[in-house]
Parts: sequence; C-alpha cells; structure tokens
Amino acid sequence: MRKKLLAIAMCLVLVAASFAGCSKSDNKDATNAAATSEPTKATSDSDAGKTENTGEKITITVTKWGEVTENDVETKLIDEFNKTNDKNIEVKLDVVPGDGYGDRLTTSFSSGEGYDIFLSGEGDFYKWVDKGLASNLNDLIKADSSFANNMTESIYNMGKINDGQYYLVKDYNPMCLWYNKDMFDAAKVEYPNANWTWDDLYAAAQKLTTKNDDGTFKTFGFQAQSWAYAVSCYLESKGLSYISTDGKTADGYFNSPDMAKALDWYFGMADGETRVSPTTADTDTYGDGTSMMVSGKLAMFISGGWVKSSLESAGTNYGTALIPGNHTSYICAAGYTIGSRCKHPEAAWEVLKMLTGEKASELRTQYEAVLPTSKTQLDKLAATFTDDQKALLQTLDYGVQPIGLRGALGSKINEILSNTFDRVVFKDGKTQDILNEELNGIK
Amino acid sequence: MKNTKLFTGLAMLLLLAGAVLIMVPLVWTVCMALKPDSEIYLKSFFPSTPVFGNFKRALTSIDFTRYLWNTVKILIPNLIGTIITSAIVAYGFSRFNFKGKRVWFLILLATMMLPGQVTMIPQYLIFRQLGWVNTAKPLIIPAFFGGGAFYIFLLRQYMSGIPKDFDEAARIDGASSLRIFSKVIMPMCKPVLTAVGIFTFMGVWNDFNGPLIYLYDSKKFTLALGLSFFKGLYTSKWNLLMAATLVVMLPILILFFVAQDYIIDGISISSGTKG
Amino acid sequence: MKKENKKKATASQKRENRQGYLYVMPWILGFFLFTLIPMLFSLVLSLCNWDIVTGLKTVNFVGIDNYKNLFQDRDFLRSLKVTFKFCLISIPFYQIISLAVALMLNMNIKFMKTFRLIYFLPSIIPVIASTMIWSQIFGESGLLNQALRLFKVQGPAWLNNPRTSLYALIIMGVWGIGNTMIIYLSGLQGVNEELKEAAKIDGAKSHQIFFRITIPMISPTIFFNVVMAIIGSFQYFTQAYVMTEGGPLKSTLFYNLYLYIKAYKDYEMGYASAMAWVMFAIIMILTLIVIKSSSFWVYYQNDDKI
Repeated sequence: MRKKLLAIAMCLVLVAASFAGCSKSDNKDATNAAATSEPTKATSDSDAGKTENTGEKITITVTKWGEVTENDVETKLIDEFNKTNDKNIEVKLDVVPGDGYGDRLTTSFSSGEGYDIFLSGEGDFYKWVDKGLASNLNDLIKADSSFANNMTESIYNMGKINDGQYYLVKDYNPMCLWYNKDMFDAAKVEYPNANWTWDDLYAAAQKLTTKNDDGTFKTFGFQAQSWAYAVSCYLESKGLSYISTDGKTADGYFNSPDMAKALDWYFGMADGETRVSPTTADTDTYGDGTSMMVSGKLAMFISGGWVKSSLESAGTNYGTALIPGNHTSYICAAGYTIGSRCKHPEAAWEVLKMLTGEKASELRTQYEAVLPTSKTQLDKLAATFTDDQKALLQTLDYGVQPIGLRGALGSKINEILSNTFDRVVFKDGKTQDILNEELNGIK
Repeated sequence: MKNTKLFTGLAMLLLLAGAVLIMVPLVWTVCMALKPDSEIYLKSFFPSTPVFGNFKRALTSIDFTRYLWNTVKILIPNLIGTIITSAIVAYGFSRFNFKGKRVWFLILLATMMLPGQVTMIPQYLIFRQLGWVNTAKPLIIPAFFGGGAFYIFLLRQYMSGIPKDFDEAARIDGASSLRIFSKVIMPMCKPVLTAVGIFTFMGVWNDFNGPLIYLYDSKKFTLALGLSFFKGLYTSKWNLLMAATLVVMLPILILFFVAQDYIIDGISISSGTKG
Repeated sequence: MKKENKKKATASQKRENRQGYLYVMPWILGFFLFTLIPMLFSLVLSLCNWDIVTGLKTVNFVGIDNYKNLFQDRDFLRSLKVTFKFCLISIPFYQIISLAVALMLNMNIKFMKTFRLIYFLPSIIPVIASTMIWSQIFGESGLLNQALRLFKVQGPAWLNNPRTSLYALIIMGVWGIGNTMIIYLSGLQGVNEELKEAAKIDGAKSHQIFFRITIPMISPTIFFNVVMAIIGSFQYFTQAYVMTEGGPLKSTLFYNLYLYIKAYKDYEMGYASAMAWVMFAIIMILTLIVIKSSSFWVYYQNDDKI
C-alpha cells in the first residue's frame, strides 16, 4: 500500500517534470532569443546512455579532483590512451576543484548514474563500497592474465575492503615523524631515531619549546594535533586499538582506561602555559604544521608524505623518522574505482589499469612529486633519498589501513573520532566519560 | 543651530571611527596580497617590500581569460533576462488588480524562504531530464522567468511608488499598457533597475554551486570555479590567494563605485512616493 | 479596494485579469517549472527515506517518521538552539547598528559619498573571500587580539573556543551590514522632510521627531529588514561551513548547516527535506508574528501593503 502510494506520487512528480520539459522548450524560444543563441554544441556529450546505441565507440567517463595544469598526469595519460587504444574506447575526463568534489559526485550519483571511473580518498573507500557504488574488481583481475601488479603490497592492500579489491591506489602518503634539523641543532638535541618512545619524544619536545621575553611562545617542540589520523597513529603506535582484532567489538577497546589515559597524556602536550605543542588556536595564527616548520616555529610533527615537497620548496632542512613506539602508521591514499553502474566494466578496467599502472606511477613521480605506487619506481626513488629521508619509505612496512576502512564498526568509529577528540581538547567532561558517551551514541 | 552642528560633528566622528574599523580588514587583505612568500605568517601588518608580481603570478597560474570569457557568456544573458522579465512581472504586480494577485504575491515572497539545498537535487534531476547538464542553460534560462523573487519584489515596491497619474496621462494619449511600461515606467525605474543589475552581476559573478553542479567540462568553468582551482594549487599561499581574490573582486568594486547613487535611490521598500 | 461600482467592474476586471496575468506569466511559469516541482518533490521526499547517492530507485516511503525523529535528534535541537540564539542576538544588534549608520549617512556631512561606499564595501566582497580574511583576524594572535592587547586584554582564540565562536560570527556579521544599511538609507530618504520641518516649527524636540515621525515613516523598511534577517539567519551557511564547520563542539551548528550535512554528507535526503519544511514552517510562523504585530507599529503611507 505504502509502496504504491509512493510510486504514484513519484510518477506524478516525474511526469510533471518531463511535461514541464516539453512545454518548456516550446515557450523558451518565444521568450528568450538571447539565451538560445548560447552555444549548444556540447549538449549531450556527457550522456552515458548514448554510448549504448552507437555501438562502436565506447565512452568511459572519469572524474577526479584537482586542478587543470599543463602537466596534469591524467590528461597526459588519457590523451595518449585515446589516440593509441585499439578497443575503440574514448575516455572523457572531468576535473573538479577539490572544494566541490564531494557535492558534484553526490549530485551526479543522485540521478542514478554517476561516473564510470571515479577517484576517492581512502576516507571514503568504505562508504562507496557500503553504498554499492564501487565495483568489486576481483573477477576482472582474475580474468585478466595481462594484469601485472607491480604495486608495493601495503599500498595495493589499501584498496581492499572485506577481502574484495575495490580500488587501485593512484598515490599515497604514509605518515611519519617530520623534524626540523636546524632547530634540533640549535637546541643541541639529538635527532629522533627508531628507538624512540613517546616519552623520549616528549623530553625532546620540552627542550625544543622556547618562549619570547614577553612570555609568548617562540618555538614549539611537537604538534599534538587533534586531527584524527595523527591521534590514531599515536594510539596505535602505543599498541592501543579502537576495536578488537576481529573487528567486532569496540567496548573495552575504544573506551578502555588505558585509552583515556593515553589521550589525556597526548592532549596534555597542547594544554596550558607549560605546553610543548601549539593549540589549534595557535595554528590559526602561525599556519598549519608545515608552515610552522618552514618558519622555524615547530620542531616536530606527524604528517603525511605531502609535506615533503612543501618543505623542500621552502628550503627547510628537515629529516624524517619512524613514529615512536611500535612505529604503526596510517597510510593515506587516493584510488580509482569502477562505478557499479558502469555499463562497460571491461572497457573501464582497461582505463583503470592505464590510470594506475606503471607509466602512470612514473609520470606522477615526475610531475606531482608523490611517492610511486610501483615497486620498481619506488626502488629507483629510494636510491635518491638521503638517510634522513628514508624513514618515510621504511614506514610503509608499518603502514596499516586507517580505522575507517576496517569494516562496518571501524567505519562507525571513524565518524565519531573528531568529535570525541574535540571534546577531550575542550575538556567537555572527563575523558573516560566522553569515550563512554560517544561509544554509546553509535550503538 | 549650535546643537545640530555638535550633532553632525559627533556623527562625523563616529562614522570616521566605523570607517576605519571597516577598512582595516580590507587594507590587511591588500597588504597580504602584496607580501612576499616568506612573510605570510609574520605578524607584521605591512609587507617589507610590496610584491606586485603576486598579481601577475595569480593571474597566470590559471587560465584566467578563458574563465573570464565563460563567466561573461553567462553573465550577459542573465542581466538581460533578469532585468527585462523581473520588470515585466513587477509591472504586472504593481499596476493590475487581477484576481488572486495577493495570493500570488505571497507565494512569490514565500519562495524566498526555501533553502536552496533541498531544491538543488530535484532541480538538477529536472535539468538532467531536459538534457541541459554540462551546458550553461540551467544557469541562464531561469533568469528569463522573472529572474528571482527578491528582484521582482524590489521593482514592484519601486513601481508602486510611481504615481499612477503618469500612467493615466499616457493612457489618455492612447498608449497601450505595454507602451506605458516601456516608455513611462521603465525610464523612471532606472535606479532600481541598476540596483537589480548589480545584484544580479554579483550573484552570477560569485556563484560557485551552480556552475560546479551543472558544468562538467573544465573548459566551460567560470571564474568562481577557476578561483577554487587556484585555491587548490596554493593551499597556504595566502598572499597569492588574496591577490587572486582581489582581482576577481575588482569589477564589482568598480561597478559599485560608478553606480552607487542609483543603488541607494533604487531600493525602496516602503513603496512610498519618492520625493 | 474596488468594492464599489460592481457592475462597471466586471468588464474592466476581466481585462485587468487578462493583462495582469499576461505580465506576471513569466514568473508564474518559472515558479511552476523551477520552484514548485522541486518543492513538491522535496515535500514527498520528506515522507521518505532516500539515500541520495543510490539513485531514485531506492526511495522508500516512511510516513511522518522523519518529522518524528527530528525532535528526538539532539543535534537537530542543538541546531535550532544555535540558530534561535543567533536570531535573538544578531537581529536587534544588526538592525540598531545599521539604522544608526543609515541615520548618520543621511545627514548632510562632508565626504558622505565616500562614507557610503566604505560602509557598503564589505557586502560586495564574496563570502568566501571575507571568511578567509576573518579567520585570520580571529586567531589567537590575530588582528583582533593584537588590537585588544593594546588595551592589555588577552582575547581568546575566537573561532576555536566553544564559548566565543558564535559571538565571533555575530561580530563578523556587523562588517557585512551594508545591505541592511542601504535599505534603511533609502527608506530614510523617503521620509517626508516637510513633515519634519512642520513639526520642528511646532516646537517638537528632535527625539520626538525621530520617534513620532521618522520611525513610523520607515516602519515598513524595518519590517522588511527584520523578515529578511529571520530568513537570513535560517539560511546562514557559508560562513559556518567554511570557518568553523559547525564546531567547536557543535557550538556553531546552524540549522542550514546541519541540513546540508544531513543531505550531502550523511546522504539522508528525506530527513534533510523534512528539516527544510520545518524550517519553512518556522520562518512562516515568525513572519506571521511579525506581520500580526506590524499592524501596531507599521505605518503605510498608502494602503498598499506588502
């Protein structure tokens, strides 16, 4: 009964809409000569349905966030592919500004279509699978004997959700400890090393924190960010996990007394006059961790590989180290997947391989200064790294999937993390109580 | 008399203080746009040496001319459509006592109260159905249907303030209502039409969501989207961001400067007779 | 208005109807095409669950569940509270300031044109740009606190403090009162000078003139600005989205921001649509209250009511 009512209502609206369409085009010509003189040549080239009836040429639509620059790797790859492929595939690329990517993707999905291939950040990997919008690539991979996977294992595995390979990673950033060598030298503190515990880090940070004559902070030793990934790296490297290893229980993990204690210790670094870390308020003023490190105001912070090019272009004398404790680190990644509504999965698979393959990896390393996904390229790059930079690559051996990718419970936990940490930072109650409350909220 | 002088003096002082407060963030923006990269996060207000090259850097790193041209191509029809049709509709509301006028006018006002976020998806679905996605049509054609409730309202209020004697005089001379509209009312509405024109200009110029959702091909992007590309390229380069923002703002500033008298005269809410 | 002369009315009324509808037709058509259909669509959706990214096929009728759930949703109630608080503080605050500025700008003083330009300037700056400017100003050692330090006051990190974030946004809004101010200014210019002169000759004091003549004469303008401000508060979005993302601790979770999060982050379009209609109802009720009360304080020169 309900379904029927709904169907009728929806039909009415849709009929009205399409009727509006007809009557619209009639009287549009009458009322507005100016608008019709607008260029209309490209009216229907994005219609995915069109590819079906033509039969010969298969159009594969691809979208990604980013900027339009002359060295855009996707544009280079796709231009080349469109010219050379023998399967009569034509790839169309839509580049969307990062600010609006989410909204654009949502709207295009809302119509029931969306893109054949779309880019996603690892934070959304689970979501698209859960909503049934990303395709499981296992069968395509199995059927394709020519698929030569040359990715570093932990990187390839980033695209796995519940044993299905859903994404092929295009670029990634492991998180590690970055430090400003000049500041360490000036304070005569030894550089961080692989044997460091978190207490060692704190001791060093205290020495590296200095004040001006008027009592304001001149430099900070370490940035205890409330960014969920940075906090998670800290917790996991101390052997604390939000959920059990089988991924089924959070009670007693997320809200364990140890967890509460560890969080208090961590955020205590950024609290009060004796703090060794800038508060979120400080970073409003001085800029994010990278900017502070560049301007010599911050000695250490945990962040992803994207920091490298910023530090280098600013000429900062930096080094990298494994995260203290057991070195567990999150990997951030962006990967392409085939949309589950794609009508030509085989063709899309060819395109996907092209977008994430050896050549792509090489070009990205060259133009985008990212770490290569391919083992061969990575080895080549590693040879050019100084000893102080190598920790960034070594950290891959300790890299794990962020919590949000580890099943339904992990994904739920991920959603409450930033609010939880905010509450701890602003002391919205006892940490233990906050953890209990937030966990109850998702049950 | 002395009292009034004291009064104006005080007002002058207050206005001056307010003006300074208003200008500080703006001057700060200009200063930021002129700072060299190394001084972005320094506390100093003024750049040690102004770097005018920032503007050039900002302009050349995105395809500025293309985005500008695309914006103009959307802007011009929007201006034409909005000004003409909103005036026509406002004329209908202010000069004819047709049945159901009050109700329609209330509906018109009520449409201003709907949040865009919920109608956005249904609108998108309709435009998709029409095959208008990836064209500028969804950003242009609605302007030819009244152009927006707020503009109709402004125009209607202004027109109501024009004494009906003018219409009567023309009617006695045998003018049709259309002729009265185009020859009598429209010329008298210049101030409010300017105001509507400028608001439309600002709306189209700064619109981010519309172009984002309807224009797929980055070759068709508008300046607002181009600026967003720019933000992606220079995440923490505040000086370049501010320089680009200032460049994009410039046309609106000039326009307002030129037309400010009209804007103030053009806005009339009380629909009282203009003196 | 035309109750007398009924006989004469019929013929001319017909012509009046025909012509009137002809002129307003573009808008009526546009209303049906671009507004009414989406409105009905969202009304139907508010009675459904729709996970927006999964397409129209997954729309699922749930009756008034969305509306029922709203009032058990703590974040929804919080967003209502934030928005009402913003309304209650900002509307009187903004109206008084912009009226005061408009009064001064309506005086005969030097550089008046330049002043008008300066006061209007911020409202033509794109919101995105002004949020970039202000998030720098509000930082712990940002421009505002540097200024406060001159008076030996250490200000908080305005946007990063749950106690001050909402007030910071309200302060920022003062910068952009240009639109409201200009509407007052044009209202003031419509005030009959002769009436004021006559009152002055009769020995009225200037505050009497202000409260007995000026205020009643611009009361429709005040009415308009207040209604627009209510609508504006409920549709307040970009500033909160860009500068605070609703935080910290959801202290700036405005109604419209929460609606957006529900629709585009959680993909619960049905729920968001229900929120939109509740918002619509609230604005309508508030506007009706203002209209009802307006018969006490709004004075129309001719009986041409809004």
